[in-house]
Amino acid sequence: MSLTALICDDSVLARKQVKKSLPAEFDAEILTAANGREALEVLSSQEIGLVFLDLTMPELDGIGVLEEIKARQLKCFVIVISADIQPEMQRRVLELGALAFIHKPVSSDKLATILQNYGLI
Amino acid sequence: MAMLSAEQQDALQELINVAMGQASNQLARHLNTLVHLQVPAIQVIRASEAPVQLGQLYADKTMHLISQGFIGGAGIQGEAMLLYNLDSTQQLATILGYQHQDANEAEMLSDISAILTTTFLNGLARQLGSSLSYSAPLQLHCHNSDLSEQVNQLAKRWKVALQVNIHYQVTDYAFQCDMILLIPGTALLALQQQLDAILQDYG
Repeated sequence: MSLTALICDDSVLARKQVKKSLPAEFDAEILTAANGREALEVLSSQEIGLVFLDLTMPELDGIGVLEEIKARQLKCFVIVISADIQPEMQRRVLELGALAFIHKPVSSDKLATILQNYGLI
Repeated sequence: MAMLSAEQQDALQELINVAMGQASNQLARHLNTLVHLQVPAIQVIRASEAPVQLGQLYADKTMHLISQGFIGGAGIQGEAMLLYNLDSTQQLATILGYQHQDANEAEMLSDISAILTTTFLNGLARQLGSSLSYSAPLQLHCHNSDLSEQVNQLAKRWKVALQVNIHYQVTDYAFQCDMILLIPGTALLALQQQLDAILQDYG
């Protein structure tokens, strides 16, 4: 079964960094969104298995997206990739149901480990 | 005049957001509380425009200015200026347990500035594949009209000013300061080359 993944970040560079850091074995169609609102639009129009989510974004931030995913009981995994690396923020994000929290700048090793741990590659 | 292309601006903004995230993490540890730190869109202007802009922005305010030089590899060097509005710092000093005296307020701003400047700039330099050294910081109190002149004194050596407006929130109190990075034209060129290299890497 092929997976559709969504990369949500307001920075073009950050979206490219995530895309480029994905391991070759990660077999998925990749979509992108430039803020939380766009991400929710994608999430409600098609089935997304995995979201790579930034926290600090205009329109709707990552916390808002996580809350909405929880409220709508969407069955997608979320990996937060954020520049806001405070332990308190990490705790909040995991509490809202994110699988993992990765510090920016994203590293391909870290990403591969997490995807492996959750059987996504 | 746009000094950076749209792609370069986006890339620099992202690098700055990451570096600022590292600074706010340090700040949170120092203050022992959650710090909400936001960096709105950065602005790259001619250094000669900075004194007038800041002078107008803070026309009737008493400002505290902390300035620190930095130098690194690959032609990166400059002066990092942090500007605080003193009207808003007293409350923060109280919240953070600094005594209600001028000396302690200066001490607080110096602590915060050290984190904002060095942690931030180190984080930025690291992403650009470089490292930095710093000179001792200079502290100045500016009473309204002389802000322009003080900034002018600091800015006249440099060609480019990178303006970063920083909003941070500690507990339920919002606090704001401006960071202005003054760099020479050669450093802007080096920065553009490094940004292009990063963009090419992820092209």
